[in-house]
Amino acid sequence: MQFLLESIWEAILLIVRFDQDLQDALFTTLRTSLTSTAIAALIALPLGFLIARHAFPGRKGVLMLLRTALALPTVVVGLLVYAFIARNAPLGGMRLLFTQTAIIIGQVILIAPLMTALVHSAMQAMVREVYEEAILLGASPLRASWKTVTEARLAVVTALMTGFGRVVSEVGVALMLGGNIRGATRTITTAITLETGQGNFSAAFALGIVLLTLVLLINLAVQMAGGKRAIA
Amino acid sequence: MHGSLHTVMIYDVKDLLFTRSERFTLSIDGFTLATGERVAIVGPNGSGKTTFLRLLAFLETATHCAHFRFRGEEIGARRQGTDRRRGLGFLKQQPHLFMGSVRQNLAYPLTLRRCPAAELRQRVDAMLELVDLAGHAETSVRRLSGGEQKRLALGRVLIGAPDVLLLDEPAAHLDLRSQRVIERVLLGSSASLVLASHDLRLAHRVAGRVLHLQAGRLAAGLPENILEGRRQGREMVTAGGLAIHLPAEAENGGADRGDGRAMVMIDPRNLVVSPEPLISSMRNHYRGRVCALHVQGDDVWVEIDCGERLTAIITRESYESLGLNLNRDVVVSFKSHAVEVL
Repeated sequence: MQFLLESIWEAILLIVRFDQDLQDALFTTLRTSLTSTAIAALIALPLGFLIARHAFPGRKGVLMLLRTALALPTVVVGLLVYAFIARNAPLGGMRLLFTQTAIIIGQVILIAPLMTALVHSAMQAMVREVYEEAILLGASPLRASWKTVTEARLAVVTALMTGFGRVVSEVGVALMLGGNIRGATRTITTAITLETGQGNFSAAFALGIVLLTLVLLINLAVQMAGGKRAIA
Repeated sequence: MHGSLHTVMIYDVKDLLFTRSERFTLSIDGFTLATGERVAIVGPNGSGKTTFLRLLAFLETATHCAHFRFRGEEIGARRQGTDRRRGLGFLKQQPHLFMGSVRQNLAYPLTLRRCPAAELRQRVDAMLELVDLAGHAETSVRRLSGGEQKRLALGRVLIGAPDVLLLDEPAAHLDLRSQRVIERVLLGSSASLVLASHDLRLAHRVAGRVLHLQAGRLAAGLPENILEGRRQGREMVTAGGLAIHLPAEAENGGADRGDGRAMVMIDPRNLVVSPEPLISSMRNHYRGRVCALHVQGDDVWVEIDCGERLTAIITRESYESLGLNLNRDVVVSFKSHAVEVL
């Protein structure tokens, strides 16, 4: 109990002090997580919709691969990308290793399958109903597709938030590809790893509370922005 | 199934075959719909009504079709683009209403057509009145009852002013008020219309021609003993002099078509044929003469001329025990509850 209370107090002090290290970790976390979520969404939304909308040879195989990718360990993704961007690797010349860009690449690979699978699930239930209805009322295929996405927006937002939640809390990719460099690639989760490794459990726990508070605030913001307004 | 030489055919379909699985095949020898015509397709669940409408709406592709002409153009029963469907409205059996308000749903087809704001508002308001949802313009669709949702869906189809309407069970499982609104709206529409329903009453009230779909094939339907006549109190008197005793609920509405006339239907399986009048609770008894006999499997269709032609369906066993033959004098009886007012 003492540990818990100390950690909460330390979290409050951390936030109040808002020192440079916390600022850097927070902004690095936000920058990489939001960017990777946005890029993954650009892949997942159309792909999930297309898989839901069209029957094609090998569709079941694609869905099976997507579901398998849900269980991808973060460190395996990190290793995979590392193999391409390390100094002597095929893309080594691009000097991506230990940069935020590398973290983003790894996180996109991590969550794109997850978000695609979730978007597909969200769309599958209504793609025929909504798409057909819109087409029958005179919409073009593009307008009908957009209508399907907006009608499924609650489920789509859930898919996006799930992807965001996965990357904001992952360690493997950020550590392996970012290197946990102070002021550059240190995220909140890699900072937690560092503090834990040094035996500073209260500090690690406090950072965890900060991370959870961040995710809660983002969730609230998304919910308030969504509201009940219909999109034509 | 054919119109005049100079009538423009909306649909002209020949030898259409649609196969989904070994268990279901739709086979239509021929189907036409002339401009301004109203056709109803009746049949039990699973008979293929929805599939047929989906083919007419180009949402399905036929397995084979000798010809499929739409508005005079040979197109085959293939999926079509948006342009082909212009002027075509389809009310699905379970339409999907979009998230938002009643007004937003009605406005959607007009926003697709880039309708100016003032005209859009006016047309939406007019449609709200037509489908009896004027007080619900800003109501979320989730708060509507089943009947209100169906009326909204119909309004959303009609607001685009289609000249061809396809309707799949438009009044199924609805409250009486919604059924009447929908029927009124359909009767007031000038569109060419194909209505799929298992409701014979709606079919006969709305359509000028009723086709029967049975197990994927257009079949010779049951003779429904459709009679018209003048209302006289609790009775309807036909031109042939038959005074048909109507059910009590017919007095409360729906029986009179507004001009003192009514139309009724009597299920042939509810007609009792006997050599002499029966002492029973049945209020309708008419003497007549057997003018036709037709064996259909285990059933025998007995056509009796009693001033009007009535057809009774009896078992072969009954037919043999009664010793029925042509020109035999018989009495045909039925309860007033067997009379369905259209």
